[in-house]
Amino acid sequence: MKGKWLKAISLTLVSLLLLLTLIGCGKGSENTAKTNDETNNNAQVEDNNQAEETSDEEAEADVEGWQPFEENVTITIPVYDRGVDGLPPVDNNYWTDWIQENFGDKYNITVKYEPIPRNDVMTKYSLLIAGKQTPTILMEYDYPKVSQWAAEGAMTTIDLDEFAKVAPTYYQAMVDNDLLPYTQLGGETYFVCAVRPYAATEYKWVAFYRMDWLREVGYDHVPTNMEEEKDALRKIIEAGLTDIEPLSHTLPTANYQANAYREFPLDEKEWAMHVGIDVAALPWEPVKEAIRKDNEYWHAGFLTKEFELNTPEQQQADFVAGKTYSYGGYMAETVDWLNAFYENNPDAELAIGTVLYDDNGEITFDLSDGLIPQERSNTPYGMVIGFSSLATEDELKAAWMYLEWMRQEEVLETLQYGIEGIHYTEFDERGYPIPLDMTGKEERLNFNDNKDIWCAVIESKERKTIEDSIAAISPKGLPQDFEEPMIEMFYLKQKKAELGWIYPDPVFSVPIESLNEHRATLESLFQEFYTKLVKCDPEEFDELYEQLSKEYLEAGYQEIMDEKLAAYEAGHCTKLPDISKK
Amino acid sequence: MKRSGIKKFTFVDFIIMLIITILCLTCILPFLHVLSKSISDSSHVLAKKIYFWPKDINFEAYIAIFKDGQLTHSMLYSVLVTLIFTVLGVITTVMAAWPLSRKRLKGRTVFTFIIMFTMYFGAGLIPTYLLYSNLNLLNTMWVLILPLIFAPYNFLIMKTYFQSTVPDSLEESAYLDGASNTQILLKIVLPISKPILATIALFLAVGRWNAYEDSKFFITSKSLHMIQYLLSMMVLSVSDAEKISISEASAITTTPEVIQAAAIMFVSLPVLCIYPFVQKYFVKGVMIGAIKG
Repeated sequence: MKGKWLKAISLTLVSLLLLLTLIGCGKGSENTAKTNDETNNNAQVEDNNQAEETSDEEAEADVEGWQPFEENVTITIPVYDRGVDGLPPVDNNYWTDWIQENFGDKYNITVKYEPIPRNDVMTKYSLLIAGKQTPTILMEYDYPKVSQWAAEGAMTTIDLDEFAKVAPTYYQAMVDNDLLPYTQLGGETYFVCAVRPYAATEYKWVAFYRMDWLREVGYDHVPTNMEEEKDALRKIIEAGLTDIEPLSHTLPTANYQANAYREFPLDEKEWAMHVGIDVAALPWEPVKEAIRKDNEYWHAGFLTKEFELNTPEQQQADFVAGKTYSYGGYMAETVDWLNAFYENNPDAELAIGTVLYDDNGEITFDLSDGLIPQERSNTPYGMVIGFSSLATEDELKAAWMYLEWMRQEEVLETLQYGIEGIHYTEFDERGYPIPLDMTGKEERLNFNDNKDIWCAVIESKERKTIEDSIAAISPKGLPQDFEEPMIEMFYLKQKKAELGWIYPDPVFSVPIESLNEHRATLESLFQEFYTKLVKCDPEEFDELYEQLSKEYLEAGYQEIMDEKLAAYEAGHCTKLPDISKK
Repeated sequence: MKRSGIKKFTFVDFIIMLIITILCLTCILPFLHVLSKSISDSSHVLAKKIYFWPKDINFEAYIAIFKDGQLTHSMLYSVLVTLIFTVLGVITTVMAAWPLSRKRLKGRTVFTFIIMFTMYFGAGLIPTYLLYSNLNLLNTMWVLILPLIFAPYNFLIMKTYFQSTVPDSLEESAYLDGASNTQILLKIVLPISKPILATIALFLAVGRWNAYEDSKFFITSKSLHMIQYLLSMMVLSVSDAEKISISEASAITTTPEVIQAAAIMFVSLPVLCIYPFVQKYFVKGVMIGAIKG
């Protein structure tokens, strides 16, 4: 009897669960429909008002001409919460107040900030979007993420001409930096983009080499070709300069580029299909050759024996402890691992590469190994910014005004350097403010000189000349000065960029569904196959590669290739610069 | 005098002691490692030269933590939240477990089933977020307290305890003596149920103290963040740094390892202080609930 009751209750509850699920789904589609309607209505209202507004906006073509809103408008701006200790709350601090005072109050706009945990951006945005609390602007560095929000209906389409009327400086910066191709998704305009200075000639990331070791084995320069490098590494091992493998290696991620092994100039179709940091292109010939090189290095004892167990932290620790030949990272005035390196290895000498010059004093390259030293350009855009589909016309306009106001030189400078008399009182010999120690003070700049606020307009804090910019970030207080070598390396990169050897990855203006579907599987599969290929007998390499490539294609890479190719052929892909194209 | 067999130290005893020692070391050594790092010089820590003994001892990391004030504020706030959470949690668990442990309550099987049902099925993050949003709980201290104070698992342990420890006859005799339901609970049942109350309180307190996900998604104001969340941001940001660095194509500043280690030590302090005094209940309560149930 009791059993029957239990069964009945269980059945009732299961039915209830199913019923509620169905109701939930039904309501969901109703809501979606409603949201779409609202969006359409908004768009319609926008269209209707456009004619009236245009004349007004033409009159208000710059910050000076803007009139305050009649009724207070609230905009919500996302800001990364990186959990850096010792800093004030990201959504309520001296600078958020300063923006409110200098921008918000002036135009009757309330500027609110929404903290986004930096290590869980997507979840936080999903919650906000689901809760209909979408911030007025949505921004991220990764194009697939913003594309996803747009595809899900969280973003509204925009009219760039209208945007240009409200934010002419911001728009012009996009035009000057060729960013307009990145504003589209599926034929509609959704985004505006922040500028990324020196995208192709990134100078902040520097690789260091043990010059003292090289000198000991008879080199007066950092090797410039593969043969030299192999020779130097072999001699370093023979001389017993380290008790571990000289190159600390870890498992690669999906970001396995194989740049130098690409045939140059490139076939644009191949570039569209294979190049990118979201999935490794195992079946592509350049990747095969790059792995073959790793296989050779591993068997020669240059690479970490158990690299699949190695970690980035261990790589850094090995270099700091003076056990490895090379290590790289982004530079700043103080780099903790470089300081620690010199403390642990006081007699060491580091170098950051070799720049070759021809008889005319022009930069030249050693291409004797037949490889063109190609590089991936950073994305030309910084933050990709879209606007909430729930935003009213006034909110949208206020958000555009926010971007334009922040793009003004004096505003940007204040946000980056602070206010004279509070954050600095003196200038250095180059004429730039010398920051005062603001530790513990309410007025202090937020993380990385307020970067998470001004990243909406520009990606890095740059000075007037590259020499000045490098002087600001070259590490100080070390036994060696790297300012001059870093400037030299910058010009080397510039030369490469001029030759077309540095080019960006393709960006698709339609979502690549198969990529989202297979990305995670392919990444772990690539790591597994990579390990097998690097550790296999060199004579069995080709056969094993063929077999694993086939498996990789079947696991989803073929689908990704096909979808990317279709998108490329339909014109939904950015173009490879002519100079790099076959 | 010949030692009796039971007191004889055999080879098996040695093996058992060895295993126990190894198990103890697996708990103590990581702790010692973090402690050593927190008081060592940063250059040794970055070179991973610190194992269980500090080098160039200094307390700069701890000074930095206290100077900043954020962690100390969060510590006090977290203690407050944990206290309120534990008190309310024990009250609600008792209020549910006691009546549902009594046979005279009609429909108790159904109620128990409904409560237990939630142990197996969760709504997921987004519906939970929407619910809290509609209840205006987001970004308040209460979102860290109210949703989790009642846990079916704790309820089950307490209910089993009541069923096995408080016989119906005891309740009946109190009833015959004129005691009301409330009096029976407060004056008879609770005084004889201290072990289970201590156990549940400990479960609740430790659970609350260690949880940080809710802080991440439901709280935006920094002053309302639990200390564990701040710690997780410090530690997890390091493991995410490479991924984020590729995304941003720039350097990601992470909290120095020495400060992380000092923060971990600082955050562990309250649990370390309280645990020795209540750990006997931890085992006792679970044993009672589990075996007699």
